Amino acid sequence: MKSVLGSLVAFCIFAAPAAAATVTNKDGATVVLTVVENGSRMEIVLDAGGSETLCPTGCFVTLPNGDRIALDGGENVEIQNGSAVIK
Amino acid sequence: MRIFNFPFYLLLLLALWSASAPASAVAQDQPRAAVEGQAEKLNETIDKGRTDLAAARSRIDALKQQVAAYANDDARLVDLKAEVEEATRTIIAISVSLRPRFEAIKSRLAELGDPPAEGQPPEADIVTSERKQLGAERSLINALTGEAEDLSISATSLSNQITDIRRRLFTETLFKRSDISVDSFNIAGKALVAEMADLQRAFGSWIKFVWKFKRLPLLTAVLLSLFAAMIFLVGSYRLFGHFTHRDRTVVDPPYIARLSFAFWSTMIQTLSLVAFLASSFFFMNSFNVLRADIAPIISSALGFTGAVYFVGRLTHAVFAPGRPDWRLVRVSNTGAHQLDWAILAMAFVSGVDYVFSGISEALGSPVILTVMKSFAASLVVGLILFIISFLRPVLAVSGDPEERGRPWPRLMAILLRLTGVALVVACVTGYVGLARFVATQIVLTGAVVATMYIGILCGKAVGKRGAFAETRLGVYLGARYGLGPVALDQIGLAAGLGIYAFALMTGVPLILLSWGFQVGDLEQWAYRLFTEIRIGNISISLMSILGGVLLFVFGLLMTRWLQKWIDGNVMDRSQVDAGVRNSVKTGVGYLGVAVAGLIGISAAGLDLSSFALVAGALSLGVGFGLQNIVSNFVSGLILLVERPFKVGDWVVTGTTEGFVKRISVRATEIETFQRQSIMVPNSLFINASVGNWTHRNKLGRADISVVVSYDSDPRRIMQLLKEIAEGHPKVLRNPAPMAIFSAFGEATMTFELRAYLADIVNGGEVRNDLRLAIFERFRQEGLGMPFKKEDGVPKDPPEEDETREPLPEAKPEPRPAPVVNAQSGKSIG
Repeated sequence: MKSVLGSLVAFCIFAAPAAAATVTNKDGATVVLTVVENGSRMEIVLDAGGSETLCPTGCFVTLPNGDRIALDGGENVEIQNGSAVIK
Repeated sequence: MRIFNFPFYLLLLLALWSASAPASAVAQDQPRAAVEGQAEKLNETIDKGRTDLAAARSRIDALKQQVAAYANDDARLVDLKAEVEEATRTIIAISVSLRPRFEAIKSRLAELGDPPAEGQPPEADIVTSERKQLGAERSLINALTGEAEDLSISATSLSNQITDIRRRLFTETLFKRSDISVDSFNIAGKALVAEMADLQRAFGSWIKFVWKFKRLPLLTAVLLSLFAAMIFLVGSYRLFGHFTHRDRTVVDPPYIARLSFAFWSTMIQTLSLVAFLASSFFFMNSFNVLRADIAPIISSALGFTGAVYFVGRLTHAVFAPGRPDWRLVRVSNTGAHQLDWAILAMAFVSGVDYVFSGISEALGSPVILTVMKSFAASLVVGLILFIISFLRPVLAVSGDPEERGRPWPRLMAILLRLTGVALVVACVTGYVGLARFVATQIVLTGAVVATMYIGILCGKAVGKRGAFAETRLGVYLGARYGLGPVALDQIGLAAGLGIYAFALMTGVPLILLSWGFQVGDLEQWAYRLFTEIRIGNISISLMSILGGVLLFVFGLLMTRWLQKWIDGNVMDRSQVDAGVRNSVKTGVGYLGVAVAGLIGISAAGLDLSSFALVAGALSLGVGFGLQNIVSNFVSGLILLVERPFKVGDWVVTGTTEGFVKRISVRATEIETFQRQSIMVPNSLFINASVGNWTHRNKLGRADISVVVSYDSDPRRIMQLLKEIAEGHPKVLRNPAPMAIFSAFGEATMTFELRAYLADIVNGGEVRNDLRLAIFERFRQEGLGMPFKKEDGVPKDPPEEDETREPLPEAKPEPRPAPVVNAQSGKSIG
């Protein structure tokens, strides 16, 4: 039991979230991205200059200009003029 | 799984990137050549993506079929889920492989710039066509990514479906052993961290989005649901308010007050909260505030709040930790506090388990996480039960709640301890599903059964003789509507039964639901109960029987109305004879009842043709046993048609004489002159002769015999008698009264005065007057004394008390012998 608890605690401390994609809004206005992750569609709100970490398991993002891109984690995405720049 | 595969994807990504990067570089340097060469390459990439996607789609379709085929095989499902996840990743990888091309197209488009505006010099054709082509490819890739997106959604939902099936297998298969080891704790821990991160992200993005764009609907939903709860709360407080607070002035409240307080305060407050929770979920759902992945989490959290509140409310009402005199069970103060907390803790733990499984379900977390959460929850419930068994909650012998209580009764303590230990053992040995079921049921079924029991006790207490009149509601009703103790007692009985029904009808379905029956099953049962109960070959439908009864009652009411209408309007105005009126009324009544009965029977779904058999059997019975009843009934019908007498007539049959009060189906009610009611079977009126003094008219003859001694002059006597009769106002002139010398006695002459009256009902009074007049006149005239006192009794004394009268008569009362028919009874004899 002790070892079980120990490993649990250790895990909780050291477990870092899996590599996720970071999206930053470089535009002057708030943008809404539609993200499909884990089978569910959700709207993500990004304020001007705001940044959000999303989809550690890979996802599809629909950008304000209508383009769709797929992310598999680890990307750095910047939103400029409603379009995505992936770095 | 994800972590192991990560390097592979990195490699794949790198490979794809390196394959496409030079091409885009070339494209930037040599626009023209690149466009030509790239077009093919691009098409190649897109084509490859398309074929890969098609392959992934067919793979997922195949997996779907396999999932359906192996829905009961847990091990197989685990493999299938891994395959589905692999496929999902492939789909993302395919889409990611399109991205470099997409980037290239975008940057090339940026280089080419916008098409020239109106009035600007036109650009070269080649540029226009390149832009056009690039644009077309861009939308092609977008469309392909969209397809991939949809496919990934369906793949993920398949994966979640598998998890759901497995979770259901876990919760529904009680005796399935789950593997409990250090390793499984590790996996579950990782899954828990991932789940929490997922939850945070999903919830965070939802809250942020809702707050930014759907603030108004959210607030409206909350406000509306608060409003709904307020309406419910205020309404129920107005109705049952006096049940839901403890009267501080009452020192030792009666048991019924404590019970109704416990029942109503639990019910009303829980139902108000449930109304709030349900309406807020409903409004948020209808205002589209909820997202598909958030809705189940919210609903399970709301369910958790409602259930824990219910259990808390109930235990607080039963144990009343702060108010020993309002306590329903005999426990000490400390015991009440401890039990209150312990039960609330168990409810809380079970509720948290429920919410967590809702979250796991919504986020598609692995089954092992559900198992581990249930493991923890059942373990805690088991430990709490174990600890409870060592408490000393039972009221001390002295009955003082402040004193330290006694331990549980032996059996109870052993039961609690055993259950606690069994739960812990089941958890540790891996029967988590069983432990979870038992732990949940202890809390949930226990709470529902306790409420039901309180409700039934409450109904019993209210239904007790005279108890309702003492309740506040009873006092109020009595004062408001002026109800007597009998009416209040009947209301109390009805209220008691109503409370029974309410407690059973809410409790039993709740218990069945918590045991895993579906709402649909219950509905179907209830439906079948009301529509079709099969006993052998006979199917009975409560619904149609009820409908039949209702139709019958309706027919009866219609008949009564028709009777009243015909009697009061039609026949009253047409001056119909009262006897006919009565006969028609009764006849219409019989007819109406028969028709209503037939309609009711047909509506109840009973086949009338099957009655033929019954009728056959009955006719045999009629031949023997029911003969009399049927003969009386038929006689009654004949009486109605023939009308030898009507209500109010003065009839004589056999030894019975009196006024007819009522003619009913079997018997006729006759009230004698002594006001005794006699039921004369109708057949007697048909089979024997019936005398009726008032059949056609009320004309009748009153006879008075007068006995005089031989000293008197008979002619003078006859004249006097006639004069006396003519002098009476109620004696008819025509036919004229007559006096008759009717007999010679040994020492007396007998005369008879026969006087005709318009209304024979007045006969007694007239006879009395006449006798008085005869006596007085004879004394005046010196006629008299038919015999001396020493002569002894007359030859044929009519009645003892009249023998000593100076002028005794043969008959004190008009008691004509039964005559063959009414008419001859009144003829001049």
